[in-house]
Amino acid sequence: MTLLRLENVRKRYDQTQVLHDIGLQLEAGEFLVLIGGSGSGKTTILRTAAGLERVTAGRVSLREYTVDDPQTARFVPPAQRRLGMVFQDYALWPHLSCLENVAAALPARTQGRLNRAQEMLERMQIGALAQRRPARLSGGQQQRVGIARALVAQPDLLLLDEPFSSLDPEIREQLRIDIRALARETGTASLLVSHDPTDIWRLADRVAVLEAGRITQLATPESLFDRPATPHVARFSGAQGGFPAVPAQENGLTGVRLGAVFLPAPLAPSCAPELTAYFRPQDVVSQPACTAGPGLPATLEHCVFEAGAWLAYWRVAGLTALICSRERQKPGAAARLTIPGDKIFLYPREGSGPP
Amino acid sequence: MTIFVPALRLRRQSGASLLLLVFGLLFVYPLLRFLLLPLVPALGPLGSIGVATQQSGLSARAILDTLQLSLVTAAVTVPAGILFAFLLECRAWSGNRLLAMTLWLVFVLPSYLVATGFQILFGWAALRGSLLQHLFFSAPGIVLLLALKGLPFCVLAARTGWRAIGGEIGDAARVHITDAWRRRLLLLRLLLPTAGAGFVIVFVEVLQDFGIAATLGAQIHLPLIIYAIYEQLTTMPIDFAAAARLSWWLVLLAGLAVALHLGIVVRYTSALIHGRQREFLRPLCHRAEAVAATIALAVLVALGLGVPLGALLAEALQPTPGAFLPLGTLTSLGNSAAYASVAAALAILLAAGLAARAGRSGRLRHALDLITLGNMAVPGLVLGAAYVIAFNNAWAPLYGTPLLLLAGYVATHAPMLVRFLQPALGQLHINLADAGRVHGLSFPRRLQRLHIPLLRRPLLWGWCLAFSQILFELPVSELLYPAGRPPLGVALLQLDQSLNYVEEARLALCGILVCLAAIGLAALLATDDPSPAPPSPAPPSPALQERS
Repeated sequence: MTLLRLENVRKRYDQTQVLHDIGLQLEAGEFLVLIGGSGSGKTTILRTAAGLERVTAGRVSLREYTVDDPQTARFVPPAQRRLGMVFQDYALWPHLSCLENVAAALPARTQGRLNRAQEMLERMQIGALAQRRPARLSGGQQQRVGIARALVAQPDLLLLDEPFSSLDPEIREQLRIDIRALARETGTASLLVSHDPTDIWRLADRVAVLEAGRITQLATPESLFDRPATPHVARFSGAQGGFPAVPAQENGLTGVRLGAVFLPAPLAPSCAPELTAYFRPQDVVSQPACTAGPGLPATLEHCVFEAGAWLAYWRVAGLTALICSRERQKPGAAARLTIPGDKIFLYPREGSGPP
Repeated sequence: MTIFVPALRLRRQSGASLLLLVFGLLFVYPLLRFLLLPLVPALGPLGSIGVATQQSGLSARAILDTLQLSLVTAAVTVPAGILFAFLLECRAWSGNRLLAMTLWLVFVLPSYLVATGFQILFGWAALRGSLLQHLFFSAPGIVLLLALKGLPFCVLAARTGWRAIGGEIGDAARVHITDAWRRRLLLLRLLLPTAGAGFVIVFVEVLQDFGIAATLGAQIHLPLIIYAIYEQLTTMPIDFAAAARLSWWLVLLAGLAVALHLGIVVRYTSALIHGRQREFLRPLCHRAEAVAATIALAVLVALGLGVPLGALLAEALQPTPGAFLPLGTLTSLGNSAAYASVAAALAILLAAGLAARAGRSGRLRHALDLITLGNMAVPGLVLGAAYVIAFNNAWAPLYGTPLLLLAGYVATHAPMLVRFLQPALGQLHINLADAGRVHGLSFPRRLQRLHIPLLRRPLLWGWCLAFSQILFELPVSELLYPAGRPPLGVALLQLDQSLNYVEEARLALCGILVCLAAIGLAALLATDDPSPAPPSPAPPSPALQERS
């Protein structure tokens, strides 16, 4: 069943259009990560789903029921949408204890409200802190209370607004694991907003990439990694680049000229006259300079050891930025660098500045 | 290098000691001497001992009236303050800028001028004998004026609460609490500390307002503590001990309220400061909200600014024989402008020194917090009365000199300026001066190139604030002005009490013009770029050049 559906959603604040024709759907039990930079509109999407913002045009449906449609003037307020929400800054009610915070999210006539709230806190491993006020908890503990509050009413949709961004890396990692486990265990669908690519790899079943109020790629993490749709996606999925390239043909092969060197690569039929190229360090292959064959003549600038792997930075004539490969070499070493054609991501060039 | 460390420490300690000495001399010594007078009559000036008159009936009435008026005014003001704060913090509304500006002007406008404006209005033939006039010249009139003056303080307090509720905390309630009544109850509970803080602040302001008590209060013979103290000090036979006893009441009432406020703030802060508060987009007003907000703003503008300023202007333009303003009356404006310029400059220097030191030392910061809160509990009139006794003796024969008046002005305004400057000084990075030192800039050069350019605006605006308040200052001026050289506030009150509204209105408007001219000049200086400094002997780093 489709739990959440956004159709041609637009949102405008005064003169600024922040969302352009957003189309998105979330299936039951699915974990969708909405990723984008600051001001890309990702939080606005989440808030329209929650009913905290009303759309300017388009339609939002929950469980196949329209909850926001300016055309028919239908709007269902947030409290009636039966969803849970976790906030970036925890948003716990400061005058209530942790237990009361969680219990408050259950309707007044619920049988055994406090017991259910306590159980939820136990599940989040903070049962012992039930009587404390939020101000006396650490950030990670407060966010656990926030998650418990969001899940206690057993919603089928959980909205998470950058829930890890105020936390230390270690706590962030643990909470990611806990949230993923809880979502699977309860079958809750989740829509998580983030600007941290790690959330994609750790949490997502699918990823929606948002740029300037538009969804530029909606895909599984693997296909996003294999075929990034835009330079932005290529960059945050770990590719290096923005190297200026021009389409070329040599010996009947299509490819691009990078610096002065031709590299074979598949080109789209209607290819732009100026391109930018991206590729991943693990796809750059260096060969001794003395061997014959195609490739970019390069000299090693420096080599660093980073989190378990050596990274070599090569200078290539005609390119301002260095090219990185995953290997250990001695400074000053000369090599020819090759990249498999299907591992080069090419995009029409915007502006003319070098990377 | 180590041989300089003790010298540096000594210099810092002596600087801090000097500042504390100045504060002790300006606050602690005079207040102790005055307030201990009922217990130790020997502390009073000769001649005042043993002349205490029995006016306990009047004093008791003044205390009861003051309490009643303060409580009623606070109760009336808080809901309005909460609503205006809601508009400013939680709604994107086209009138918000005008609302903020109106509240600021109402705050700056002296209370006795607001009272005079209404007195003029209700003196007009069309309103004479009307129910409105009857209501104004009685307790409701005083409540109206006091509520107008208390409103800006209340809004300020309430905005903090709305800012917190308007963000994610409010969103969380909207998403998670399905029952509307429980949601409203929760938000109401979150607002309660703010409402409490606003109530206390208005209560204290009302207790201490001398301007309305001295104008409308005196005219309708409604005794209030603050005016009763003044009467004890200015009516023969002068009774310092009775004034001190009444001051105790005022200080105790205000002190209790301030302690309550402190308690609320501590509890409130520990409850709400739990994480970052993200900026949130304020929704637009609904149509009904916009209509209600426009009406409320119109009423505020009319009552807070329109009536007082309009009435003063209309009265000032009345044709009268002779000069527009007699020279003697105009002299008071010159006197006050001179006093205000000097006192504001001294107060801002003292406040800047204290605020800067408070930023470096936790103990001094706490001491300053206490002093500034203590200042809230001590009205200017009580401090003025304390100065009359403390500096009217053989070793400090300052009473009746401009120096004592200036000291009074500085003492009453420096604590407020410390609070005003603390945020600006707090924003200066602690390493800024260190970077200057490392790059060889001397202390005067650091002041000239780093601190003054960065602090110029807050210092100038602080000066403006102090200048405009001292120019129209009343209670300290009444008690400490040098004979034959009355400041503006005293001259205005004398004209008011002799019902010479035309001259009073003209003088008040001239004062407002002087104030505006000073603010304009300060604004000009605040926006003007400082001239480039000559090259220093040791070239500073690029980062430093960028900063300077």
